[in-house]
Amino acid sequence: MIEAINEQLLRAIGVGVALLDLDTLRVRFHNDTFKEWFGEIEIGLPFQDLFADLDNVALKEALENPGRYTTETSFRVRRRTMTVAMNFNRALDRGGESIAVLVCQNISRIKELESMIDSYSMMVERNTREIKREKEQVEKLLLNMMPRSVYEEYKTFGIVTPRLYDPVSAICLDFSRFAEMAGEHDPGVIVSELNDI
Amino acid sequence: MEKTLFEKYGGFSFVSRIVMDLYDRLLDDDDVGPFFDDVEMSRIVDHQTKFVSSLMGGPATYTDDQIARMHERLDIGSAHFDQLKVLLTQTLTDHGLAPEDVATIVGAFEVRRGLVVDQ
Repeated sequence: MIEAINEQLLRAIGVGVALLDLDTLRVRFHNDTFKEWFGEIEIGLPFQDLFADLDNVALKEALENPGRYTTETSFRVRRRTMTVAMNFNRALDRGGESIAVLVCQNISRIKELESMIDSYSMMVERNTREIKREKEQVEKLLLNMMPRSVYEEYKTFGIVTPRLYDPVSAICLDFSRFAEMAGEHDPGVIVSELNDI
Repeated sequence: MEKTLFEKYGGFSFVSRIVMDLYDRLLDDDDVGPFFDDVEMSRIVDHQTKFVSSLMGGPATYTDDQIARMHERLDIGSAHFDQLKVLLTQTLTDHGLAPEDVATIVGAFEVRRGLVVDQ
């Protein structure tokens, strides 16, 4: 009775379960979820036939020691990519018979969320780089117009307190014949000359 | 500065749910789903994330040129565009967005029709 209930439970749970003969790596049992994901599987079928990419040697070695093996497999169900995490555990070692229990969990949603987080982080990182670049340009422009100490004060407090410097020297320049010069020369040349000064 | 819809609804933690829901509806739909038949999962998710984020004023922007280039090899008809519009409207409404905000987002989607639908 208990055994029958256990089998019913095993068949109905939302994870895929299969039992493998450890010596031959053939399927001894699988539940309905396993069948739903991987199709109709004949009992006694070599496991390799189901998962051609699976490294049988590594699987056998890992199940000998430390007795467990973990891998993932991805496949398409219609247009959806399904990813299943596979956990093999060595069980029963009775009368020379060794069985491995394979528990499969559907981790497709986790993979999709990982992709979404990757996509979003890349967008945010690109935006952060752009903001940093713009900030540097604004800073460069402001430093062209005011001394660094004034800029720092403005950046911190949003206002600059007027200060009296005593004594101070100021230079006022007036270019003789500037109006004629501007009229006679190319504007680009004039601006470049002024920049040099 | 006025808040974008992306910020108004709580940023990415909220928008991510819309993205995943729209992704499911798109793939399950027999009209627009086939466009994704041979597309890798990470590319579809990336596309959906940027698509919803850009429509809601999030950290993604597409130029008209980029949108046109991305869709030029696809045989997208007006009926496909209409169907995606229906799915987008349903998804946004089901996530509790105010009708006027749904209209703004769907309106931003509609103005790009000419860029993706085969003339």
